[in-house]
Amino acid sequence: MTAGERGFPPSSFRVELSETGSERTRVHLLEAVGEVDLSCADELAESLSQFDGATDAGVVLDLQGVPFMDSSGLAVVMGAAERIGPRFAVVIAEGGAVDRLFELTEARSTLPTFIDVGEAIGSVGAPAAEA
Amino acid sequence: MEDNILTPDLDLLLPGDAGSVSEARNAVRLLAREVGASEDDVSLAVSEAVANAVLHAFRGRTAGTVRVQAAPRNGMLLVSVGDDGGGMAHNSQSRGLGVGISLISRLANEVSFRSTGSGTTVLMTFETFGQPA
Repeated sequence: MTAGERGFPPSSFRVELSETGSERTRVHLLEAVGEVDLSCADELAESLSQFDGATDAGVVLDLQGVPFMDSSGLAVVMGAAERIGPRFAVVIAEGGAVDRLFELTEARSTLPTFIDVGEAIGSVGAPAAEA
Repeated sequence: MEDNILTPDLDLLLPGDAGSVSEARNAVRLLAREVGASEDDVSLAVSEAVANAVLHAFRGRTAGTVRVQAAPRNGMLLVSVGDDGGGMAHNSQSRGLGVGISLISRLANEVSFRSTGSGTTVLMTFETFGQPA
């Protein structure tokens, strides 16, 4: 194969956004689907950046639909966690490739990580003052 | 450890851009599956190695090429990721976490880096566990 040819189609990646909870316990749920690497990390970053400094609602990033992620994606998630603050949580598929990445990089020690969307929503849904 | 893989089962010459990360990863993943190596670990290591090349090798110059080779040898899967860039150098403007090399070192059974003014090659070996069921 010569440079410029593509033997595999490029990874397809998308983020679906929805909202859940009541007015006081509102949570933005971002469901990421597809493999995350250098080619689409910016897309994930853009989806998350709209919630930078969010104080009126929680933000849950569901990565259960992500069968692969490398450190480009993890850097985006850690950056978002830092900017969004305590009302941010991540959901991963237990035993999957993302779980393996989190284990290798000890990301679980800095990212609020769940394996259940409902639990993640519950953890960020209450306003900080009442948590 | 060899620097290059002679008569590789897989030999890809890819453009030094972000699209090559998944291209290389998916191709090597298939070979890992065939020879019974850990698909997750091989995929992650290859993704990190190619991303490193794309991000660091061609800074300040026209993007070149990334060559990915792989072959099973003596119960191991050998994977080589090389570029024709300017060699390894610290990049304080990197978008990543700076954990790529550390991850590769943890994922591969053995890893070596060879960097010259005409490019960098990462050679990784992974244990195989026989043919998958």
